[in-house]
Amino acid sequence: MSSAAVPALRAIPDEVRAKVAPVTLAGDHLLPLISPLAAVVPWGGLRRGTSISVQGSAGFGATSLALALIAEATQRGSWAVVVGIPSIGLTAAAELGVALERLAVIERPKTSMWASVVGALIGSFDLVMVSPQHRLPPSDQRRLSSRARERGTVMMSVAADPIGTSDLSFKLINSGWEGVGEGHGYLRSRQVLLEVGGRREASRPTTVRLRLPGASGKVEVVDDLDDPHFSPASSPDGVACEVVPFGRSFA
Amino acid sequence: MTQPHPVRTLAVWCLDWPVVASGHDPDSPVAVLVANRVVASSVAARDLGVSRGLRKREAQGRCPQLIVVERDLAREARAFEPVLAAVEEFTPRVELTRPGRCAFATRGPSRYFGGDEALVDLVYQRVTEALEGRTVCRVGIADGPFAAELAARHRRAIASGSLVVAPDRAAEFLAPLAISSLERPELCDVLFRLGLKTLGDFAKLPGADVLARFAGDGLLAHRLASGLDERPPNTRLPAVDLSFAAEIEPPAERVDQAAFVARSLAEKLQEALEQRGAVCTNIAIEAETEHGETQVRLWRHEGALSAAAIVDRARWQLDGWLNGCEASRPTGGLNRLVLIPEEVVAAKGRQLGFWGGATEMDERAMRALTRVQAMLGAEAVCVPEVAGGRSPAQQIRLVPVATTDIAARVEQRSPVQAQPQACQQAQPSTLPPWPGRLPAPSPAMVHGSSVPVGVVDADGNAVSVSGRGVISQPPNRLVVPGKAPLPIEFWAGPWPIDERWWDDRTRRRCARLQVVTADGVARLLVLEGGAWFVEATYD
Repeated sequence: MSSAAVPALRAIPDEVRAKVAPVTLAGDHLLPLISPLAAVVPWGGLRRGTSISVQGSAGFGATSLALALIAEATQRGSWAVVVGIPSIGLTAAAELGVALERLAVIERPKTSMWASVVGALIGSFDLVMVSPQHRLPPSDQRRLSSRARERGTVMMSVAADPIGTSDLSFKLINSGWEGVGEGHGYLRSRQVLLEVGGRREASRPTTVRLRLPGASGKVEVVDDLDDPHFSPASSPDGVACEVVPFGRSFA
Repeated sequence: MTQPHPVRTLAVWCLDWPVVASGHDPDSPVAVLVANRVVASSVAARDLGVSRGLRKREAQGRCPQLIVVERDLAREARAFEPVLAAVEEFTPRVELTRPGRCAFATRGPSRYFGGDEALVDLVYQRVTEALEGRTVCRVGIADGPFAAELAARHRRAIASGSLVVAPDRAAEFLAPLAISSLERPELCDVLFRLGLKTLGDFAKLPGADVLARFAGDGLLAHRLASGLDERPPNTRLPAVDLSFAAEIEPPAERVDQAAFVARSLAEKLQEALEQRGAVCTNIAIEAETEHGETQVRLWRHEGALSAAAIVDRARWQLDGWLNGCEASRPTGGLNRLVLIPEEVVAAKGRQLGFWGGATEMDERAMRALTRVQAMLGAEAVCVPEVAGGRSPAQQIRLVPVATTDIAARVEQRSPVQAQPQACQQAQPSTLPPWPGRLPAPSPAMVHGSSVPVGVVDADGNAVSVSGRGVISQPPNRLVVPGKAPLPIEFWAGPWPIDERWWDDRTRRRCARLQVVTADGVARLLVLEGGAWFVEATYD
């Protein structure tokens, strides 16, 4: 090959090169994640066929985190389905970046049909988000998880209580809001403390502080982990509390 | 290279078949819907402005007395059975493209009945009798099924009932017809904007250039427009016996039992075809009863018949036979089913559409949703739709998947975004601006008004909001029934909303409050009719 051809090859943008690559790389077995979350999980994405648990008391951001986890994959063409979480906030899903045209919601599947419904969805959807309210018999549980492993579907359980072991587990430890004061301001951003653990490479838990979402609406990693007190209502830049939309005029 | 002649074909076209099959009076305004869009309408409805592609509500707006029916292909196939039986009196090899349209090669019949003109008249009379005045039919003869069908639908055929295009004149006949006759909306749209308004204009383009620009499907359209056979020569594989048969024991009395057998046969056939790298475009489905009655139907498809499509066709055919009119109904149960691929072409692999379109992942997801719908009912499976509103629950609403066309939704939105981190761009621009809606972030758990709570001030009195939107006292504690009161650390609001005050039934007057309790949980509270509710949790 002549030396002149090499710079020409380098000029090909990465995404074009990725598209024309002839082989299936190991990376294709990963579902993409938005960059702040990709930085905190061991493989930089969600491995197909694995199970994920997102756990946190109500109000600590478990649902938001679950939506943020599926956002990038749905943008890139994967389909996601939410089973048995009737209260899921779809506006929040859109704001966190979920492509709504590739999202389906089954609000209240009958308890008796739950296993067969989820079984039908596994394999056809890349991401299945469930709320494990029903205690499934262990045999059903095993059957579903082996099917998911075989078909490359990521099963994501979102719950307030600890769930059994999963390949990757996210646990929200606490949460604090910024931007709201005593009678003024409005909720702008939230900081959460997130523990990421799981099996194999993820077995050593790491803790990370996230803005879920930050003031710009995106998920961000908080860099200054040393800052021990992030108290609600004191925004780091001090801007949030000064903005009063229309609350004060009525007070 | 000499092109072989397309097979001279006679096409029968029954007008408004979905409407006729619905069984409603043909003079009343009827519209047939698929996924909330009109796909066919009766003459009376068309006169009132109901056209294809309208939404149900738009159609009903134009014609309030409109009778709306959902499309049922099995019903259409069943109703078409007598017509098919009438056509079968002329030749045993009748090909069906879809209920309402059929075609057969005229070489033998034409000679036997004394020429094309005579054959056309006979077929027209016989089919008109079979239709019993429910609708009218049109008959056309030309070289190739495509030209024959257009001949049947030509305006001269509409005037006289039939049209015969002389042999070797198909290209001339097709040349002045509108480009939209190709029935490929996206391609036709592009061609029209390129200034190619008739099939003749399109046919004048060099085939190689069309292939280069519009890929395989474009070339196929070009061949059709040029009056050639739809498939280039020598693509047909040597005939190997790929037929699959199954004995049904005990004989099947119901269609679903037979369809179950058809499914396993179709899957075997599909596997055998895949091993040879081929797809089937024309299939004969043969059924035999325990008393020896047989029925054979030929089903034709423009693309490739998938296993599911074969099962559908078997189901339609058997439904028409087993549940059809008394005279033609078999006397016993089905005990044998055979699938015979009549025409097999090399599989060129499915190419993604030039204009985006549904990917394989989309199709898989849609199939799974259909399956779950069958388990739980049509209402249980929902997809989000941007609706607009002030409360988090209203802005994006869930609609049953049966009422929307998900394929169109996926295509409408930008295709899969290639750039990494695309979703990190702010999204809310997709939501329409509603004055008074809460600013982002929106709550991730929306409870509706089902969770009643108490909000009290420092002295334990209930907090209220006056008619002028002034809060009585700063809220101090949140009382969730059955739990210890939660101290409120921070709060914002109240934001009063007076919606739809002009409408007694849907008017809503309420005030919203965001509160953060000591445990770090933020909630959206709403005061309506003197009672507080948790509308949503910022989970």
